[in-house]
Amino acid sequence: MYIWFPIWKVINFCTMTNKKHIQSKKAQEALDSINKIQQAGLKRVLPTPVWLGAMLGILVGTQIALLGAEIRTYNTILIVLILIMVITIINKTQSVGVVERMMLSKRAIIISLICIVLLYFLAIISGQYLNRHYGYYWAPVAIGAFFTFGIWSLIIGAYQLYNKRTNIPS
Amino acid sequence: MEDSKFDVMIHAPNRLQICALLAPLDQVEFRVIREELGVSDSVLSKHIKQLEDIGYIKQKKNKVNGRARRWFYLTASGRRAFELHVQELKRIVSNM
Repeated sequence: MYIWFPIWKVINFCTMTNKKHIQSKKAQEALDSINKIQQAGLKRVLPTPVWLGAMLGILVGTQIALLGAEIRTYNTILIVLILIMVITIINKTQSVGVVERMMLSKRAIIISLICIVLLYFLAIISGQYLNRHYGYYWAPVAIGAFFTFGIWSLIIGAYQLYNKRTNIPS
Repeated sequence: MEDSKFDVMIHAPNRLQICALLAPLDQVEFRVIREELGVSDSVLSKHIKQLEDIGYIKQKKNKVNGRARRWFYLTASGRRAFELHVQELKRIVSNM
């Protein structure tokens, strides 16, 4: 009995180690499958195409420039085109069957939207003011161009973030 | 920090993959989950029902191009359970 006891202990230790090894292997397999499917899911998320973002930026910038210069002739057609762009982007997202998780909270999104709308009107009003009172004819164009560049930068930033998350070299 | 927890309901391979697919995304359509998992409609429905019953996922319906579609998303408790489960898996791996 004295001789066999340590042998049992050794056998028991080996069995436990083997069980632990199997557990660890299965856990690693589970983690690998999680990573694989998460990458596959993220790759399905289509980022807003850069050209679509650029067009949206140009349209918004043009509208700000024209309204700043108090030219309202093309306003309706620009609004219709901007709406078509927004609907196209939403429809494209819906048709792929996945919606990306927003990094920002709902509160932050609402605050950002309010800020963007305020900035939009502020840009138009300041363009009109500079044009009317100081005769800076270039001011509405410069503000419009600034907005176009801002929207373009946001789209490029979102695109790069998407590539980083899905490990696609840009 | 909360302790990691092994969740038997999540650990079944198909349910683990459903949770993993939903975790980094906001919503996923039924068709996409089925394609990614490579299972039949009935098998997927069964697993989704089990996860819905314990309140880990929820669904909402909407129409895209006139066709009714079912979208699924992880609830706050489902997201938490999945995170704890992943933590536990990592702990098991690192303990070896």
